[in-house]
Amino acid sequence: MTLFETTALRTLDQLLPGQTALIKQIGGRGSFRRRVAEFGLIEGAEIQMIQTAPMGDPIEYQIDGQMLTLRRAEARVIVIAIE
Amino acid sequence: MPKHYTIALAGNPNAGKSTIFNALTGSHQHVGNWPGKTVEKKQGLAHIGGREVAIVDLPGAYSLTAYSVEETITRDFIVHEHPDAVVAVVDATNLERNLYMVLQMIELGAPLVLAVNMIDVARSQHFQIDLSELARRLGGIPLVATAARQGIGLAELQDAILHVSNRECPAPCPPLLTYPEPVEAAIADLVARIEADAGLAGRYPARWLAIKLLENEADMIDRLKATGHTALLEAARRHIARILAAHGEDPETLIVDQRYAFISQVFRATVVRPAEKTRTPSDRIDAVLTHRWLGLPVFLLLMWIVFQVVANVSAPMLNLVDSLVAGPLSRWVAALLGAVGMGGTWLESLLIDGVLAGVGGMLVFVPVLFFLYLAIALLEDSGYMARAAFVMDRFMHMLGLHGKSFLPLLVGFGCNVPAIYATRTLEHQDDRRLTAFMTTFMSCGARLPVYVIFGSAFFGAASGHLIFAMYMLGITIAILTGFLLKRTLFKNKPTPPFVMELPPYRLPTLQSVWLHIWERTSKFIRGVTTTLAAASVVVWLLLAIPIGQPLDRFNQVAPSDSLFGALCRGLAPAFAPAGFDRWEATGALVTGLAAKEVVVSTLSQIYVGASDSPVQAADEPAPTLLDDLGAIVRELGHAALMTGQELVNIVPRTLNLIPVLHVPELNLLPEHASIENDTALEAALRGAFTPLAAVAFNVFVLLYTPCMATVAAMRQEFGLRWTLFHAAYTLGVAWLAAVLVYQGGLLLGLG
Ligand SMILES: Nc1nc2c(ncn2[C@@H]2O[C@H](COP(=O)(O)OP(=O)(O)OP(=O)(O)O)[C@@H](O)[C@H]2O)c(=O)[nH]1
Repeated sequence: MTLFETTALRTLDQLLPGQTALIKQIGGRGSFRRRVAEFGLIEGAEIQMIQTAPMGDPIEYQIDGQMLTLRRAEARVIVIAIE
Repeated sequence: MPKHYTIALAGNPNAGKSTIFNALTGSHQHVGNWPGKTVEKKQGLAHIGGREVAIVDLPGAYSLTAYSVEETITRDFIVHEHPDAVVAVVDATNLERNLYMVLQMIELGAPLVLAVNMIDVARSQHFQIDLSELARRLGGIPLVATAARQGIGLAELQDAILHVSNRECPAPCPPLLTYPEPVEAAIADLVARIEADAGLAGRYPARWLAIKLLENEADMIDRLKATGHTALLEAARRHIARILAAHGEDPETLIVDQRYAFISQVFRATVVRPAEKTRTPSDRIDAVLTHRWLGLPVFLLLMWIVFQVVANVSAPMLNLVDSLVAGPLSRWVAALLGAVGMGGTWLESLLIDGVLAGVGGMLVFVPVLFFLYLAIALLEDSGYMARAAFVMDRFMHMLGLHGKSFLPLLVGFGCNVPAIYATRTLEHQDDRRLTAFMTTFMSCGARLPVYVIFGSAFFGAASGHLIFAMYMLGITIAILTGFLLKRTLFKNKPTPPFVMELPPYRLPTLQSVWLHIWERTSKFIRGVTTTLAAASVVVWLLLAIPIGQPLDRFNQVAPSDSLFGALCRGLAPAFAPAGFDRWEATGALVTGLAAKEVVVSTLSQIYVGASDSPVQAADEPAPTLLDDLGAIVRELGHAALMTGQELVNIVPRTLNLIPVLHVPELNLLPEHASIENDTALEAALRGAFTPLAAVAFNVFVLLYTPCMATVAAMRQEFGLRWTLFHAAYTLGVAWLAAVLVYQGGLLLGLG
């Protein structure tokens, strides 16, 4: 599969409020990957963007029924496929 | 005599550990700190099946990976203290994430009891959970469904705890979870190496340690480095490199994925989530509180209220405590000493002006902290604290801080002491230290009188400019300090990710709020009293020891003839570059270490000679015990009334922030205006300082080591080394800034 083929691959910070996507790949340092994994952010998980904070950063997401926050810069290293 | 059991409670934050802990231990609990850590250590005694059982409430954590202080503590306790049972408390509405840590505890070989809590919430939200299947899939661990807040399931939980504790060491069962082949091969090799090392094998479960090494966990690697296990680390490193080369994934990722794959399997087999995610009340509250436009105003409003509560609502009780210590309490001590023939001696002075003044200096903070902890408990227990961090993070992150740092910094404008304790709401030790460091530059209420008196002495109607400039300077120095420390002390610390849970809103319970307040306030009293009393006694001694006078004038010398005066004269030249080298100014700064408001009273004592000694004037008849008791009751009533009034007045004060509104405040008992010797003092100050030197003096007062209570709080929270560094840093910055202001002013021809 190449980029921009069937499903659009993007990074998590590009999701719009209410949009849902599948996590494809998590970049960043090992400790970052492990940390977010502990909150259920792993490859194949479904994630929904809820809203951004009033000043535009961080961003609130829903995953497995829980509400989580990520800074924009952190969301940028997570690759997603929009359904 | 049956064996004494130790039980630990572990689980994700907000899963209900504290509620279960409180239910099991009732009022038999004790809160301290984990050694060397600013994390609460809650311990209590429970009676289960006729036995005494020690219960330890481990701090809330999301995993056992030693990512935060909480997680390190939890893991070390389970690994090294070998509790007889570990109750894993999980939130039934969030099993998938909660099971991650449970799985890690199973891998660790902890004697687990699973408490599936919040079962009431799960049922009302139409979750279907097959509990027996869940227990079976997790290797047959004892499992109890609980609704701790309602007291449901606690009896069964106690039975399960006893059952697990009574159990003879179970035969080692096959691992619940096996990893992909290459990882398992590496584990097997590492396990063999670990088991060959008697020291290591006795300390850690071998399989668990092998997995940690393959997970490349920094904390564990550091520990093994420290114990010289380089060969083992080297072997782990080679395995990691090999797996990465052969499979394109590091073992860390494979391990985490496998855990989650396992959990999803268990989850899918045992839980049916409600089909349509219902919009919960929590979501609706959130729609307002974190709203794009409303979020910030709501946040600022709530913070304003917190500030009002900590700074103003606590004031009447603070004044009450102050006057009780200076009045009746001092008189009673004097009377008691008089009764045993020690009246009027230096011992009386030591006890009253030294020890009692020090204890009083501690007690005045109790009302402030009470209200601070009330506010924090409400914010945390309701779930708003995480939202506050969410709303504020963008701004605070620019300063190198975390969204949660805002509250301590704000509280600092009221008083630095509660501000330091408020840093506990932060997750990481480094963030706590940095924030605490910065809070002490927030100009607290006690510094204001100094600016006011100097402002009106030197700048008259323009004194507001001085006051405003001081507040701004404090904020600026705090920010610069933040940047400086980030680039030096905390240079190699990566910013921890801002993955934070926004927990559902819950109504705080009275019991939990009260316990929070009580635990933290009593800990302050125990931790700080000795330091403050000792500091107060030292100052008393300095003032009592005569210099250049016969020694029999002990405790009967004027300040200028005491060791204190001599010391200040010695120190004074250091302030010459800042324009104020008179010993009186130095003396005021030294006594200001006791509390900053003392700066003004010292200046006024030295320059004007007006003494506000609490000891009764000789010609007035001393009030009897009965008079005193009556007065105390009256004052207590008065303070209670004023507290209520301040609370009510938050409303008009808040409304009056809107420029066009002028809502009158409630004023039940007009405070009588205090008659003070201000004009005389102002004249004396004008004689002693040039305007430029006065500004430099104020700059110094703003920036130098806030007061003994802050120092004591720092020491309690961050240890002696950090406290000394902080004291030295603030002194240095204050001196430098004062000199810069004075010399700069001279250069500009403002002298
Ligand atoms: N409805 C319901 N609420 C509960 C239950 N157990 C706890 N709570 C509430 O959930 C909130 C969090 O509970 P705590 O006991 O403070 O949670 P904790 O796990 O100790 O949290 P940390 O101290 O942050 O680690 C409190 O408001 C409790 O009253 C329960 O079984 N049902």
